[in-house]
Amino acid sequence: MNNFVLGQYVPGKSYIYKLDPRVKIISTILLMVAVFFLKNYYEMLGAIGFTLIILLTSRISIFKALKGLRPLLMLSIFVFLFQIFFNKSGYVIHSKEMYLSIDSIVAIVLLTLIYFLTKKYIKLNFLYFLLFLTLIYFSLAYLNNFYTFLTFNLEIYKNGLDMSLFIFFRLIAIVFIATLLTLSTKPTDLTLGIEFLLKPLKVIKINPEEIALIITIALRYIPTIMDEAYKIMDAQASRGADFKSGSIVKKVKIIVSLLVPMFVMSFERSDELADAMLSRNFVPGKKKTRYHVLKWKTIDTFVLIFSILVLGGAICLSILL
Amino acid sequence: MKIEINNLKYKYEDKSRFVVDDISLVIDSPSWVSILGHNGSGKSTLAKLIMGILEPTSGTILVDSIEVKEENLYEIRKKIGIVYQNPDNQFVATSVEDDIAFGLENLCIPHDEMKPIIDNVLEAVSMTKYKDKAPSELSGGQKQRVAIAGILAIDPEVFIFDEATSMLDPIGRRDLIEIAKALRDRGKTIIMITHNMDEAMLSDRCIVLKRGKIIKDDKTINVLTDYETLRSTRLEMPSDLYVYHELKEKNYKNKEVLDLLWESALKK
Amino acid sequence: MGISLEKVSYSYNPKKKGTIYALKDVSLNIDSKDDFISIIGETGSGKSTLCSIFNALKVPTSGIAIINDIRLKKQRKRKENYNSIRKHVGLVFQFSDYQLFEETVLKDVMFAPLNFGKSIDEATEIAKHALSLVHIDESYYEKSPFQLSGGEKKLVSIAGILAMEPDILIFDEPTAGIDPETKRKLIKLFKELNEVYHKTIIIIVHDMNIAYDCAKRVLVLKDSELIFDSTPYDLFVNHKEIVDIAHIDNPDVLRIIDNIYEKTGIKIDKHINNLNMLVEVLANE
Repeated sequence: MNNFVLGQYVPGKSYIYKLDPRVKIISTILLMVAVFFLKNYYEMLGAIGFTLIILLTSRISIFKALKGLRPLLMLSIFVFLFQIFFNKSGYVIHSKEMYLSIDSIVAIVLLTLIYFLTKKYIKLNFLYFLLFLTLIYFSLAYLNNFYTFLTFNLEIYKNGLDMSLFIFFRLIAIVFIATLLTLSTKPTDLTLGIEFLLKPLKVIKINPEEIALIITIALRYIPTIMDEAYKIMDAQASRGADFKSGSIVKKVKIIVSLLVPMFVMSFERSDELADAMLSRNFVPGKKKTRYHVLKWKTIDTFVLIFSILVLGGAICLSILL
Repeated sequence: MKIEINNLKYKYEDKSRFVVDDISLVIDSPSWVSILGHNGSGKSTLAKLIMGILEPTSGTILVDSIEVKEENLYEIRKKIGIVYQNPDNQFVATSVEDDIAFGLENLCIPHDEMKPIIDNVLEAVSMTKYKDKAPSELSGGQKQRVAIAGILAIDPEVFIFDEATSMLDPIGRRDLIEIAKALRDRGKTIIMITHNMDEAMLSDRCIVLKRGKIIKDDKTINVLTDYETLRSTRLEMPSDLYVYHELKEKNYKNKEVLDLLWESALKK
Repeated sequence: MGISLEKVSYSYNPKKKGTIYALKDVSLNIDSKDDFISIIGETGSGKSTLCSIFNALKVPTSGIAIINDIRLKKQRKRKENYNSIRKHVGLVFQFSDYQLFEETVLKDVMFAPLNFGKSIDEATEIAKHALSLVHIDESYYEKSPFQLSGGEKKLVSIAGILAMEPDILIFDEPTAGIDPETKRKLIKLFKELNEVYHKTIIIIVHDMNIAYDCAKRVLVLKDSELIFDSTPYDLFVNHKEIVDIAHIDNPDVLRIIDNIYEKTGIKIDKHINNLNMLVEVLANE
């Protein structure tokens, strides 16, 4: 638990690590915008290919980048299914009569139960989910022996399929680009970059330095507080608190037994931290020098120009086609 | 340089009792002073008043002839540094070097000068190896060493240790004491707030607080052999002195043994 | 009853090569009655992990751990409830802030008995008894635990564990960051629980004066292994080499006795636990 490290940063030495975080953040935004200008999934495949090339040349492990996709997997599947079922334009490419009958309902309920009970033990859970969907499809299509409530036609249209694939690829492209940034940039550098880019906010009296400090302190204390939470859970568990089962009333009590000590300790901590910071001459809002100074290099200019060109290209493509 | 405290009083807004109750004292530099007292005796409050974190209800504190008050705090905090009790609650940044830089940044030290200073102070507390480590990778003792390095970087005259060793294991404690001794040898003034008697033995002078008042302020050996004062403040005597004292009470005659105990107490 | 470990190891990533062990091949037996054990070792030597296993908070990655006749096992499906172990072996954490959360002292101490299915009346009785064991009187029952001093909080958190009526009590660094007066109270309490109530006490300590004063048996851990298991006398008098390699301090009593012998030739029997006994012996010479 002590090795809990926030963020996905993986140390490395390739060119992408040497880039100025400001350039990285701006380029990430530019490339993401560019992705939104792309109109069909051939272009989108091109975009994914493009990010893959960056990934390979920067020697970041593809495996790590794929891991970044995980949280968005369910979302993209949902969007995919939504488009397939509800987008009814273009010509029909697949049509199948489906039945909602007693046996198909029973089959679906059973499949769902089995799926949720067993999915913890299956490693390739994405493939497993697809298998689950396929089985549901078949039970809807072929189980029709007892009392049919409802008959409907599952039709998949050309545009629906196109659109769903398109959105699916778009999500992948965007997540890849974002992961590229988080994998190759230290949280501290990211904070510095954000601080710089937020400078315009000074106009409306928001001090970017303070925002950066807040991010830094959050990054600093999240592991500590996590560690503390585990210890408090242990301390209450050894007094017989069961975090896993029990009635709602008991559960609420047990959650309170975790939250109260966490809050009490956090208030104490923030008091002491404030004292320590003041003692070291911290004055909120006062001008100060910086230990880490961002240095703009030629390669940064190139990367920035390149990103702008990519965005320009994407816009041109969308106008021309 | 000296710290001069005159008729200092402090109470929390919602309480009637004075936590610091009419304290006057002078601490000259260089020296090593222990401030002893039971929990709630006001010793940590005193430290916070000196640092200007709390504002006195009445009375004054002068550090190097500058009064501790709002407009002078920036100057005061360049002259005095403090290490607090909890190693985890004074580490501001996400890495060792960044934490030391925090104080330097606040003092507007030019960027080019920071690096050599940081390397220097890390060397002084033997933490060079850990320069880019995150706080979660360090032990309590190591975090306290970083805290000291952060103060060393600012190079104040006075170091206050506010129960800085009480959450450390024996090795962490020993390391910290060694660093404090090295600081003394460099001519720094050390104010150690503690209830560890072995630590108190290292000082030249002990100030004992009880319910916000000074009840004894004398040379260390005179304070630590004063059984009545220690008992009334619920403190302990160092082991050798305790045996010495108890034997004397019992009219023990063997002078050789008594001298031995006395000497070994002083040697520590 | 009691604790029995056989070749117990614990590591955070047992499947990988070059595993770092938090505990390695530890075998021992602990009686559930009358024993007083002190666990000694540097920070990171595995003391806390060992106590987590005693309390079934961690399950060994290899070896056999049987506590209160229940064998600890890694569960695949549902975490088995180890409450009967926790009732038998109580664990007092280093920081009382980890456990205090109720509005009043009494309610906080009642938390454990209520978790173990006692009725409110029963739990109140048990809690009052537990508080009396740590010498916290009635005037504290309705106070908020957050108003108490550090020492009082410590005593209340101990009562919170005593309310489970355990046979074995583990204290994780009970004297760290504690004022001298509470320290004295705690030592007295440990001895009382051990001698009067016949509980087995296990303390993790860095202060060798306490270990030598109280313990009947010491376990020394070094780099995740149990390197010594015998009486404190045996450790400090007969096995100086262990004291050295585990970086343990000598208890003050023994240091003073050695010093006196060296300089004056007066020999004092080292079966003396604390400074008061030393004074007695010297005065009666």
